Amino acid sequence: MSNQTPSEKKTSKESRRDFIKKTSVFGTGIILARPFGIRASTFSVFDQVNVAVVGCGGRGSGIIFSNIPKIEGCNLVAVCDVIESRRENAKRRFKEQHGKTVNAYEDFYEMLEKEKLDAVVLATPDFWHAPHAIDALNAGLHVYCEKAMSNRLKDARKMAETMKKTGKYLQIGRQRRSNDRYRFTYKNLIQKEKMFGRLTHATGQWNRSKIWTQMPNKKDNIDLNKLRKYGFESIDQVYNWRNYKKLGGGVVSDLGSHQIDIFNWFFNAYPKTVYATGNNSYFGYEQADTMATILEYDTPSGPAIGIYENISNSRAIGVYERFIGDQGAFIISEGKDNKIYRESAVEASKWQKYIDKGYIENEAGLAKYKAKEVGDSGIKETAPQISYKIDQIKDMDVVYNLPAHTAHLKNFIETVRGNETLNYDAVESYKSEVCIYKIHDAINNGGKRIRIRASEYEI
Amino acid sequence: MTLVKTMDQLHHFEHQAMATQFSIQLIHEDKEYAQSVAQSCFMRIDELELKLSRFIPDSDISRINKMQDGTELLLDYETYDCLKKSIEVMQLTNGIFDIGMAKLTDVFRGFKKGILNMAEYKNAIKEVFEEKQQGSIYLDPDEKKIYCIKEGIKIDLGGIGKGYALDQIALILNEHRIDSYALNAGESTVLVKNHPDRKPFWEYGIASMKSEKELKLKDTAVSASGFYWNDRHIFNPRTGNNDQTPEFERVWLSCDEAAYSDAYSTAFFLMNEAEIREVIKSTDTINWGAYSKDGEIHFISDNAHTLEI
Repeated sequence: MSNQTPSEKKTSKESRRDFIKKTSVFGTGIILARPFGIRASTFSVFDQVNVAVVGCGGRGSGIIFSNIPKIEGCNLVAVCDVIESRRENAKRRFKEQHGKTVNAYEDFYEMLEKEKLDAVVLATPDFWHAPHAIDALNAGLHVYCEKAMSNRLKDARKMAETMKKTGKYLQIGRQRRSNDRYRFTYKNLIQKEKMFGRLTHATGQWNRSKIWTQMPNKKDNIDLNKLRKYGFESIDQVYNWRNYKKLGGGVVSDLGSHQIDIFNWFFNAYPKTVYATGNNSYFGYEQADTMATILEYDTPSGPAIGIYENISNSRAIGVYERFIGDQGAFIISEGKDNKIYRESAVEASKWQKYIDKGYIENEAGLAKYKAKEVGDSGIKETAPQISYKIDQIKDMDVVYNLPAHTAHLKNFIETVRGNETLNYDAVESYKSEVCIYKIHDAINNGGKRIRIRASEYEI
Repeated sequence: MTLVKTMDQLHHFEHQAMATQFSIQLIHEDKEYAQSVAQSCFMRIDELELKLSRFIPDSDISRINKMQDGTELLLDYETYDCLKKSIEVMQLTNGIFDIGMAKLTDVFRGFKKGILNMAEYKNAIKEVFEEKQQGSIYLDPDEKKIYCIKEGIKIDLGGIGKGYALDQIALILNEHRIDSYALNAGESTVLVKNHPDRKPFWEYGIASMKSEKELKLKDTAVSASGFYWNDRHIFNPRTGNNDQTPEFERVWLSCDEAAYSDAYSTAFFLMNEAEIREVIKSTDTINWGAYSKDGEIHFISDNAHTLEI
């Protein structure tokens, strides 16, 4: 692990930056070259966290190929998957793209025994999260586990309890918690500046045109008898586990939990009441494909309401969260939809300080080219409604400058290395899991209204 | 295999991403399997958009566009790969293909939206173009890293990204042993693969005001570039303006990889015929080119092994 203090690290980073500036003042344009004097990374293998990724499907591949290679402190040593082609493809592709050979395992426990690991990253179906996470924590490893914590609330609770008991780290993969834009919005715009006044409403949706089902590659030779050992009763269960109640949590856990967690975070509260309904009438799988919920909060600033929906037969409106306060409103997402609106009763001059601080920008970032600082640009066609967007991520303790999935894993790795604290540990995550499972209960009970006691959120 | 049987096995899927419509036509006996593979392809396109789009704030490209002097950034494999290919085309076209023109496009959009008036727009374009000319970005030849030496260049992969996406989904189809397919990005780039028995060629038309040609495409990518649908969207890196009158109404270009056909077609639209011939001579990446001028279609290149008219 690193012996550098944070100030030494900052100095070394600044020196490198000066070095690039001073030694490369030649050649304009976009060039294929390394600036003079820059050498390949000298990150020591002794300073890295040795990790294994368990599950090499969609999310696991993202971790292996998009997240880990961007985290210098993260050293992938092994991959694990019950499907041979998935683990062998991951091993082959990682060698092709990054020149490094990793070991591939079918069995999680064999891997734990043979490899010298600091941490495991779990990207398996939900029903495997609790046994793997609890056993890894008890074996002295740190764990990064994709959401949902489990498909059973009592197992999620056991995971959080084991984290507390062992003193090891357990981060849950709700990646918006490490997204620079979300963190900046919460810490600086909502908490510090109270820019939107009292937040009273949140709405959100994750709409998709279809729940696609996946099939194995025709060339794969899949042995169902072997898969039964790992809790699957059919090949379809391996590839489409999200559609089965005993294996996963359906749309509410898979999609809704990311966004309802943001309601809870930004409101600084957890719902006291949940109303929800849903059905599986569109695709007929075990899990609801369509759902809607209303969440009632008592926030520190007063009552608030959250409204959330999942639609699986249309991409219309897409994926974002929207918050409304009495001074302003905003749309935030991991995609293109990110806008801030000033309530018309709030004068533009009152928000000028946020522009001056570099927090937000207006005029599509073109304000500096306008002849007049305030007012029109001549008489012409109708101009669009003015909105703002986040300009720079400033005045933050940490800026990851990474896509959220990578940033969240980096936060975990840096915590293991002793440089940060977890942005979203299992105890914090458990609170949102409670709320999600109450929504499940409401849906499964035909739209019942459910009250949640404050004590139910505690570990 | 009879033609009727093949037609029964022809499946068509569509998906919206990268501000356009992607489509996949593929031949396979199992419709459900075809659908499953197409879904994997569309998920891959969405994943690529999250990395390559400058309009998504968390993408690699957005983060490159916010880099300050003297900073460096680790890149995703795909971003690095796509940038490397872009630089190759930039070099071979003497900078006519230029992925660093995004800020000029932003100013143009601001003008079209009414944020800037005409005088402000002209001044802004001049200023932004000067900043761009002085900017300097280095892509590491070995590591997946990029360095900002001097700010000023804002990247947009709009001239290559859709083609690159087609190349990437072709890898998925090949991996799933699908041997006959036609991929389409916004009708401006197609990538086809053929099996001699199932589908010996894919037919596509190219048209000008006075002429039409039916092409029989085999194992190739073809891209088109022009102003018909998207007026004034291409800025000329030589002048910093988008008010040029191109020599051609439209150009078409064939390469083995769609990333290259996409990128070269964008550049060729801003070049004259002599310049295009020079570029074609200097690389074996390009199979053939064509253009429409005064309403007629003309082909450039003798290397037309992928083309049957």
